Amino acid sequence: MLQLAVYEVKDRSFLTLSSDVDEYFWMLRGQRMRRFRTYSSVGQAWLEAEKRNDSFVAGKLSGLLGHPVPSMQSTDQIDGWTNMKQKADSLGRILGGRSLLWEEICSLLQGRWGGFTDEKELRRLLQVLLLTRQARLLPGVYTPGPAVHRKCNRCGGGAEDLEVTPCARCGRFCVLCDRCILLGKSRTCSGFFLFEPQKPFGTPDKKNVPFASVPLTSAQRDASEASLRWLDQSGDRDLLVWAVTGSGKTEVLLPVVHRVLERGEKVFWSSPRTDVVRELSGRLKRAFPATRLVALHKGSSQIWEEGDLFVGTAHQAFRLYHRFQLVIVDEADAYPLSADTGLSLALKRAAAPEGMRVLLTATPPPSWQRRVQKGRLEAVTLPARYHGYPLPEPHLRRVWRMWRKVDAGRPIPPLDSFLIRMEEVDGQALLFIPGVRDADRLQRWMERRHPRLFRRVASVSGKDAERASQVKAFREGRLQALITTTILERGVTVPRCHVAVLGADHPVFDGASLIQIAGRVGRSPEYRQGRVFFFASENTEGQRRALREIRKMNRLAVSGGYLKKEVGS
Amino acid sequence: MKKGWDQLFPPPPSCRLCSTPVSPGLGSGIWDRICFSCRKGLPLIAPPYCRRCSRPLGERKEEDLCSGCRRSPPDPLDMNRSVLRYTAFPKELIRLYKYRGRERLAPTIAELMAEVLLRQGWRGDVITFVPIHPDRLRERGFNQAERLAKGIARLVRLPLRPVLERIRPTSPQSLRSRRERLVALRGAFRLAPPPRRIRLSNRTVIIVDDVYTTGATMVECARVLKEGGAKGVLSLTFAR
Repeated sequence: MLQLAVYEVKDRSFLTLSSDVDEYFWMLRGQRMRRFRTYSSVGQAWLEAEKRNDSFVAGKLSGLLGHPVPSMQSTDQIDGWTNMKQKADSLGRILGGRSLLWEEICSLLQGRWGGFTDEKELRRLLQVLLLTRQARLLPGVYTPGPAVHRKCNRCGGGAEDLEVTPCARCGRFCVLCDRCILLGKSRTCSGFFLFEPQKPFGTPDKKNVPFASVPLTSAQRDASEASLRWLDQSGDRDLLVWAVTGSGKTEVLLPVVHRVLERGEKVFWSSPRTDVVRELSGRLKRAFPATRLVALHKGSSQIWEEGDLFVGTAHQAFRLYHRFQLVIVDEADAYPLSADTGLSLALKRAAAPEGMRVLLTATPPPSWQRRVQKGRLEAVTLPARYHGYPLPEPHLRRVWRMWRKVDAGRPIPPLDSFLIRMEEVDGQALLFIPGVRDADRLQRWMERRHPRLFRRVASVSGKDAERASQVKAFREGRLQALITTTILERGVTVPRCHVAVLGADHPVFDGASLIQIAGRVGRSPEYRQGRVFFFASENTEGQRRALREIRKMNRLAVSGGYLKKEVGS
Repeated sequence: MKKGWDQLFPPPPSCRLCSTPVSPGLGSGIWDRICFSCRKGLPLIAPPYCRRCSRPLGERKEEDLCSGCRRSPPDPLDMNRSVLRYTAFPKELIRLYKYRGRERLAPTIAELMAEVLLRQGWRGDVITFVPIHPDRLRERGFNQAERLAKGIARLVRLPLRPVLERIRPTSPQSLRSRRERLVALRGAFRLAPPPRRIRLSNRTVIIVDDVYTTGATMVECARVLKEGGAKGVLSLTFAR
């Protein structure tokens, strides 16, 4: 639990974790502290200091910008202070570049130093860091008078994410953020500390970073060179890398990462899911064998480690602060980043104030595409797959009252012929459906219409306990077809894949999702028979956009000369 | 922009446990406010179950006691009811609620429990909960059982009284074997001192907790309550 005090000096109110440090600080300046009050909640103390400073009207802004902690020049030469400051600096070196709750500081120090036995001393050192502006302290949740202005300082969660609950720690009613709760409770009474990274003296020297480069295709090489040009010359801080599915975008960015690492700076590579983090960290380890690499995800053992190259889920960025010169955001338009604006804020906060950002996606939303067209966002396009074959174009098939036919077990000729052909060419099929409930309907239809195939069909959904094992069976070829919701639109790759989307006019299948789904097919250069079919009773914008963008990318690939010669006829 | 739109045309309410939209009718019960796929993961304890400890029974319908309850002598706890079996999804919910502190789940879980209590037709006089040690309370920030009891008490309109008190910190029960649990809890609870003490004689108390595994905690609480004069002690848990 965090004990704080609020005091006044020269009619200004300040907030302190350890009043004896501040007493010393003001004594050196010939001032006396007055009107002490102690608190056991950071939020309460913060509000009190703010109110006394009469910044209550501008409460919303001052809560985040202004700072009721006095600041000090680091030129003090008094022994006692220097001594204390040295100790605080060594603490600052460990905590630098992180944004942590009080509980997290304790657990980090537990991992590093085997715990910090003297909590009073820890508070004293933290207060020195605050006084020398190497750290900032905010309440976990900022709670001004009107509830709509409440805000979680860690994830930016607003009123709808916050919950008022009686809190046993501060003994009052406390506001708790539900949005970032999986990273530990952020609440009014707990402190959220932002530690500035400790800068090494002078300019960072160039390092020699061993780099096992991989051979690039001509398309990859062009994209990679364009990215390097952006890194070295452009004034733009954001770069959009528009790479089609299966193009090998990771390899394209390796030279960029290498360049930044060589400058002695740090890189964060955020990716959407834990399994991708694991896979990616293995690949990066091979590419940069001598670099300290940290993989961050739920249940990772490296959470409190130091390194130069960080790979992690976007959620882990909540714990990092002003640390990275380059942040690479993989699948920047997709879940979870699309669903949670707090995550992109976290990624921004993890980057250094002048840091650069690469947005990596196969399906930039129309708003980004417009910004690119207007020249407001720099973009690099990677239109061809690594094997030089074009993307398979989806075939749109209109089926009138499809689900009624499914329920009645009546034939659906285009779907029947898709399945029959898929079996003939010895493929495997992913059958996408809009909702979990449709799985049973489709399975019953398959049982009646395709009894032979039915024995090798299974269905998965987001909350299925057997999801992993079903997907594994499909990967190993023990299942011939897998009925799935949109959860498998990314990541699952089997070489002999065919795809059908049933009910492609359902709103869950927007353009981006259909492009990803179509991108499951034709990943292997050996098997070219894979087909993509969209079955729908209506023609929707999503389907049109998918077709339009896939065709556009194929055209770009042809005009760039990236495709193999024998195709295209 | 989006927000204003949502004000005019509110999106369908979402499932109480996940973000899937559901469309319950006006005044529909809690189960209709949970989406199809979440419901699939919540295995309700349905009728052939032990009438004392609520353990699901196999086929034998003529006997309504489980093997454990038939062997053991009657203990201070008169009856236990649990809403769900403690399988993967309920386990995950409890983990989120209790250890991660997602306090938002409390009203939903309480509603599921209150429904069972009403269906059971128990005539209780007082609702109470399993206390946790003050040190643990400060560490966790809330008592998970208290929150549930509060929600249930409001729904079934019974008074909530913090009758019990934990006087000895015990290490988590979940790390112990069955026999160790029974021994470890001896003397861990007592009746709360006067300002919170109420008359128990001739009253039936319902104790609320999140998980019932061996029942050791509940039996110990019941023993304390019976010694304090309670007429009957019933227990209600979310999962077992």
